[in-house]
Amino acid sequence: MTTELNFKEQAFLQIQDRPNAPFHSGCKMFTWTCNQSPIKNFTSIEFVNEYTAFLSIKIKQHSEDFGPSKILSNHLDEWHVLLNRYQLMESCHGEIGSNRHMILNQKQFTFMPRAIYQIRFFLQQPSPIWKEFSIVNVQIHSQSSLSKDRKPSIERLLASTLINDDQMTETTFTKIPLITELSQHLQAMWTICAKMHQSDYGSDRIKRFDIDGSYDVQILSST
Amino acid sequence: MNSNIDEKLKQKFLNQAQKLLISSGKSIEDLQTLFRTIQQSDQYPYFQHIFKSTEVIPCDEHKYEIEYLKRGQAAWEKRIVKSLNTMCTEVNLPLARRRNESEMRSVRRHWNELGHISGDLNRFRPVYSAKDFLDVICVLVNPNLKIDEALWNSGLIKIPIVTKSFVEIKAFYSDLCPNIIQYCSDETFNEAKEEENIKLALQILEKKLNIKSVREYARRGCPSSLRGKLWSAMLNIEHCNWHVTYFNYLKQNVIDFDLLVDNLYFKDVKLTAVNDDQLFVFEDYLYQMLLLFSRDTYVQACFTASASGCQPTRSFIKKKSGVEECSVVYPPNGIIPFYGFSMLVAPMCFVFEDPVHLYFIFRQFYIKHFFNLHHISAAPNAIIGLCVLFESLLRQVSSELWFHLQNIQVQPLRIAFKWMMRAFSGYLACNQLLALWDRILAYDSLEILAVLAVAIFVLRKGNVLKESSETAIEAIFSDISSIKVIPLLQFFLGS
Amino acid sequence: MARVRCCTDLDKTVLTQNFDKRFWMTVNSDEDWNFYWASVTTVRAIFNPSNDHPRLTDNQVINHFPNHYELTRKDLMVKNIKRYRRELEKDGNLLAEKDDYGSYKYLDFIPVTYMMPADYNLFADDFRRDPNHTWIMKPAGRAQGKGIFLINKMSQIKKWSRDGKSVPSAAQPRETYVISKYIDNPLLIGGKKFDLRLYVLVTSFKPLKCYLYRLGFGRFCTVKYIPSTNDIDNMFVHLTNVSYQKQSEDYNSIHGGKWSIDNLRLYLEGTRGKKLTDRLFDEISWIIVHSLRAAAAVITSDRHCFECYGYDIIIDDNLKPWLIEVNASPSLTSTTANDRIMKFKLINDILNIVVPNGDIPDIRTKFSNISSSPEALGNFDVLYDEDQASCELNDKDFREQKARGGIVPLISKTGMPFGKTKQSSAWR
Repeated sequence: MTTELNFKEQAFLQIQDRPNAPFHSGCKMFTWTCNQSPIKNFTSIEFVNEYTAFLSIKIKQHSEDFGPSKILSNHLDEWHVLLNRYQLMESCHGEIGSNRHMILNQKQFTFMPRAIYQIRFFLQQPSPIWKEFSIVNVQIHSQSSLSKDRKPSIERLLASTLINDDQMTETTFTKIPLITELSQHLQAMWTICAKMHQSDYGSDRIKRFDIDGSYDVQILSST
Repeated sequence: MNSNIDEKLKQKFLNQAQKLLISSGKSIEDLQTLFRTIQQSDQYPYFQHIFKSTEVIPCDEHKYEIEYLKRGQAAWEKRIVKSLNTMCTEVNLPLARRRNESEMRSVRRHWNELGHISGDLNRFRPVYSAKDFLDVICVLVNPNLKIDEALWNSGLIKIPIVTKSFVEIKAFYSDLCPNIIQYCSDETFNEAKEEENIKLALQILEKKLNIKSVREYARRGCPSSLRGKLWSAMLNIEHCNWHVTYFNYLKQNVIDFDLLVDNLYFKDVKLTAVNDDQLFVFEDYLYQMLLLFSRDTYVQACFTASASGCQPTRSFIKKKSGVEECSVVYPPNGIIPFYGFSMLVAPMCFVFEDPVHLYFIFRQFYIKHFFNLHHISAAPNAIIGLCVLFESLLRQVSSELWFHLQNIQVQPLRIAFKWMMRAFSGYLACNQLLALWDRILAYDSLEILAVLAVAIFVLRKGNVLKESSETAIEAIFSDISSIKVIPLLQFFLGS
Repeated sequence: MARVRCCTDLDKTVLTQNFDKRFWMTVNSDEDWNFYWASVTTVRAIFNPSNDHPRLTDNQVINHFPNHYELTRKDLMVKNIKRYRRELEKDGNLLAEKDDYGSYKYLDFIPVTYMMPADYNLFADDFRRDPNHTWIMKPAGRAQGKGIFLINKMSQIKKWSRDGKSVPSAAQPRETYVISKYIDNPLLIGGKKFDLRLYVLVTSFKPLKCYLYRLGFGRFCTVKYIPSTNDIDNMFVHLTNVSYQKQSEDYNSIHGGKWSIDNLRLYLEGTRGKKLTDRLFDEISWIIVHSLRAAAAVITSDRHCFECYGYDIIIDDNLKPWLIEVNASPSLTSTTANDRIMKFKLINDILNIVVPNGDIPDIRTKFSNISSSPEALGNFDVLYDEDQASCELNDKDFREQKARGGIVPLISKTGMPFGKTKQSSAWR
């Protein structure tokens, strides 16, 4: 199950004694609060970076013993650090990593919360050369109660690849090349495929560039 | 996000399944039977395992994917495609077509002198040159960048890529410091020492240690008699029979199809290598290599490897425009050559005599390294990174030179760019060039190109400071063929 | 200090520029000169005893030996080399050793050659033994590929001799031709045939002192080499002479089909390995030394003379070099910009050696004066110096060297071993 996060609260953190400073702190805080039921069986957080150099995440765990009404006032329900100053860009002054598509999971997190009630993202960008920094398309992935495996299964894979009989359209071959020529090509392909498989080359890389022996290209289409 | 990984796995699995089905000899009627057959196979547990163990992982592959650069590369590709289309209309030839019988015979007959099958080349011109490409790179600007004039007004490249500092470069190339004896710095190498070194190389090669140990050795250069073997080892190419099969398969494709890009390659060889007093003898080799190369779909792998997220240009076969299944990559390898492309192969003819071996070395060298020299990407090894490295190193090493050039409004990158884009091929004496390329493989990085370009500027600094016109500066660097690469690098990195 | 008075009867800028560079005074040939770069005809006239030309003084040097043709005429060169081999053999010299097939192990470096028409019968016998071989006919005295043709049928040679007889021969006697076995397995690079042009400077024949120029080059045919007999008439395939190749439409005026020796070495080391390459270049050095020693016996080693020879060598696909011919007046015309630079340097280095320090030459001190520091030699390396070649090598060392496939030192007639000269390093 995926929950998309829309941040209502996106605040620049101010430098305490200089709220009207001509420069910003290079630090932002995004907060998201669970409206309905908390997120359980949380697995990963996915987002696209936009020039954020470091990311920290804090969450409020939902203790299942408490009813939702009590939580706000409960001082035991503190912020817990899920991720501490995680580096998203190789250098805060350089491009690398700036547009990176990230999925953070168990490997990066300090712990795996049982449930999430509220989540806060702290974005840092110390470099002054960028106009903006942010993270977008933030999604929290969790296993739904059915615990359906997201990983591909052989069954689904096959089902999605094969076309049902009724979807198949009759292919008409107008020009079939000479059988000798055909077999020549086939044999060459066959040998190569076999050899490819033995060697380190992934077999996915070898392919014919023509379609049924035709490679008559008139004009390039720019895609 | 994960589609990429899944795709590979899926392909592999489907291929396996296909094999399995063929070998089982059963005719498969429906999905259920198919599935049962697969389940019964001994490979089933294996695949089940890898599907399960494939983590949905955060991957680093995407860190070089920068939106505006991706758009820049796409726009650039569009421009090349447009100019290729225009040429196509002008000369009134299709991009690709099947040859007729007599043409096929002619190609077969002239296989060792393919120049004979080229038509009238006067109507063709290179699609783009180093200058065109530089102009494109120069105007790429990050929309999220505060263009602070003070910060960005010197230098041509406005793309904020952080490259190695001079100190880091020195550390990285520490084996090139002056007190370590190198091949190709002639005088310091006496015969006894040379013999000892060759023996060592043979030992390393014989033991078939890992690539790392070969690279370690090659950092001090390759003896020219063992260069072929060492390069093969560093590029992980083991000459085998299937290379011959594959070579012949590509050859058959050259015989079967006539591509418009062939003319671009012919023209390029005629404009560059044929007029080069070191490389002209290899003319006919080059035609073979380049024509095979254009038809090799394996080369498309560089698009995935580059991780910039760009794809080769696709087109549609005749009368099937718009039908997705009939879209093909054009040319089959996905690469549209630029002016001087053939110079990337030519020097390798000094190392490999056998065309088959030569081809696979070139292909691997290209995919691993040279592709990056004409592809827009944020990767530090790609051309933009090299440009930034060049400018920043020059600023660090000789601010006097840098500001002199800025004052007289000469951009040093305009001079150095063509050197780097061709990996210096055609600009240096061949033994020097090969010594340089040894280091590309040994350090597994193209950064040495930028370092050498800066070193050349520093070497001729005295002359540059005396001049104040662009033409005079260009004249200083118009001929760098007398440069002794390794001693110069040693001097530079030791400074 | 007096200026050197120089003159030349050739109109070559590489010469005059070198004279000007040294501030030499150009004079006419009938004036008093110190240095004369002359054509072979002029030199012949100067040394002709019936000529009333005054004897050369001690302060005069000239660029040809009086009877250089003993080396540079195709027929005489072959004759002298054959004689040299016979003499070594008679003396039981190790160098004249023969292999199991009866050919010389170390002295078999010229293709089988006969004089025509004198050796016609010998040739005919040989031809019949191996009728499939192609032979090449060359006029003995001409250069630049003129008058050369290939034959592979006896009828062709018969026709040639008939045609020769029909020409009225009173005014001009029949030109001597040499016919040589054609090297039909030349080493091809990029599918093309080439030969080597090497420059050798000789300052004295007795004792022999010669220098080899580093900036030699390979000359490539413009057309792909096809060893078929169909192409026997397309001389572009076979002849590498630049003056000949220039007529081809594929001739490239930027490099003129010339490839530097350095590149050849780089290529061969890369593709054939260092050992074979070193051996090839050593053998080439020895070919030159042998040919010069063969000629030394008959050449008048006039102390006024020096000479720069153009050696033409073909390498076959077993990396064995073959001496094709020696030119007395290698072309000083430049075909390309690089060629111009190379030839300018060549003349410059020659002048530095034969007129040391730019002083007025004095042949009485000819040898004591020559500094042999590498700097003074420019791009030349001493190839052989009979005076200095006195390094001791006993028979055991000799055999060891030979076993290693390395350099085989030259053994003199008296059995006194000559040392190994600067052979291999000459090529670095």
